[in-house]
Amino acid sequence: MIDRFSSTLKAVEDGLLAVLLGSMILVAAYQVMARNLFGGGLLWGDGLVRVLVLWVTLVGGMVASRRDEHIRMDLLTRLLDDRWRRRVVRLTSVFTAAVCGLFAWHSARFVWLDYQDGPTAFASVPAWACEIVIPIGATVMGLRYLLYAARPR
Amino acid sequence: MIWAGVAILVLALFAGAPLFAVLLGAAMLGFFASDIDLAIVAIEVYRIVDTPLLVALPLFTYSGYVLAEARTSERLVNLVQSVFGGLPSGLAMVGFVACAVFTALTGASGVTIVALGALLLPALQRAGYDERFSLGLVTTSGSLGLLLVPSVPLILYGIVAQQLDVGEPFTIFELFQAGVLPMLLMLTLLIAWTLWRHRGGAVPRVPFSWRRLGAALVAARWELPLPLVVLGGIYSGIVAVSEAAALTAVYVTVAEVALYREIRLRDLPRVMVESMVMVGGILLVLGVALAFTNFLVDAEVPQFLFELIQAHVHSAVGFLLLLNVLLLVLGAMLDIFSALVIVVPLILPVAAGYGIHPVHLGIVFLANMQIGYFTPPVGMNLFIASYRFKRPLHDLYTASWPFMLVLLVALALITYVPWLSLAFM
Repeated sequence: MIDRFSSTLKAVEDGLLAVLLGSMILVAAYQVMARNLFGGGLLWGDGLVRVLVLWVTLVGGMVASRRDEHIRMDLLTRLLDDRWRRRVVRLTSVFTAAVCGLFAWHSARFVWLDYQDGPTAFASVPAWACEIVIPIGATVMGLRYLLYAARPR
Repeated sequence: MIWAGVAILVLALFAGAPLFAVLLGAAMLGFFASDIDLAIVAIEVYRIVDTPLLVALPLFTYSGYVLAEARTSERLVNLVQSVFGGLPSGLAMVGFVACAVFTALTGASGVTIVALGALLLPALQRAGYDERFSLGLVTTSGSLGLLLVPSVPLILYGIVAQQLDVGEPFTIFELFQAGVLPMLLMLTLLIAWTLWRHRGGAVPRVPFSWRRLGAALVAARWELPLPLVVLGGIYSGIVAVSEAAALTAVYVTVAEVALYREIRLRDLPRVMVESMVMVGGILLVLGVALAFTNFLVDAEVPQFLFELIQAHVHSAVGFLLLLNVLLLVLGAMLDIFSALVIVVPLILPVAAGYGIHPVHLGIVFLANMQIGYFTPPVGMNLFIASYRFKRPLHDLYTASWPFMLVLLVALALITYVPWLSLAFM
């Protein structure tokens, strides 16, 4: 069950990441050309591009946790033999999952507050819809590391 | 309770927990200790949206990945070789220049060693350079070019420093200009040393030929306008850095997919995902580091640090010397992006207290990091080279140290002659 879910999630993440970057490139490039050729781009264009950067950050982070490719200091784990390495990886994974879980909870509260207040990010897009990727990303990353804690790679 | 948290964080850091998790934990612990609602951490991460310059990072990184996927490295080496190949020690110069350009375009993520090293190493050995020199060149040049536009670490330093808003204000453009002379100094010293080492004509020259140059130019025809797209727009002031990044991304995609046809359209999403995983990793660390930095500033940690250091170090030169040593050690342990987002917020206010210009500090910082990439025993490029060229680490240590010595001389000059970085300001 978990395996089927993760393969679906993998496809969604990869597809989403490509679409996010593709739109970022197209909108950003359109803005430059429109500004220089006919003196003005889309009013919401720059706002959209900056939100896309946030989404790329979180979705990219999700994929990085799927492949366990996050930036880290790996001096110690490189020196240890396999049995000890697994033990250390279990512990650091529990730590990471706990931090992500805590962050997911508090960022969800932040999104909920904005949902009730209703500020907008750009054009008429509400801010909460742009922010929601933060708790989602944190949750997915937390679950992945929980999995690594149970089954260290 | 708080100290137990700090202990766990330090242990997690050295045990190899992801850096973003350690910083996130540190930020939450700090705000918790100051009785501030932890939702603030999410608000800080959301500040990524308020930094327009940040768009340049994913766009330039993507462009670099596309260039690395196509046969750009081959064309670059051919072109540079047809220009410099006829000079004494020409091929070594080709190596330095090509690596610098390619690293600036792709960021020093090891791509240079993987893509260019594989071309250069056999070519150098065939041309008569001994193995030690050739290995040393490809290993150490993998981070040459960090100071050149549009290198991602250079842009990232600008973003972090401008967020902090201490010391003299500067523009990203001024930071770009500042890297030019130090970069030329490094190249000059490296080439001078190469010439001296191969004095007496031990290495045969390749005669210059117009036909070769012509062929190389024709082969690189779609990539030749690239420096113009990247630099022309920025230097002429028509477009901002993030806009140049967008144009570069479009141009590179069209050139490699439609004109050269070296990347199939259906392979493009894979390249996009690869590049964005790296960007996601970097920006996630940056985002949580922003939150952590804000806590540190609130807690007046930079001031404390400044007073502590000032009690022992009295001059700017003394501080810079201390900084060099610290950064060399750090550069070998930490990757450049983490070092940038964690260390710069701490040392920039201190440096400003000594009257050091933020642009000068940035160049010194990056020049240090560049050397850290191949500082034994754990510099990242040593591992990449060892893996790529299938040589034991020990061979790479012995091959790299003469180059390291030359670059340390350059670093000393860059550090103690601020004019090199600030000449254009």
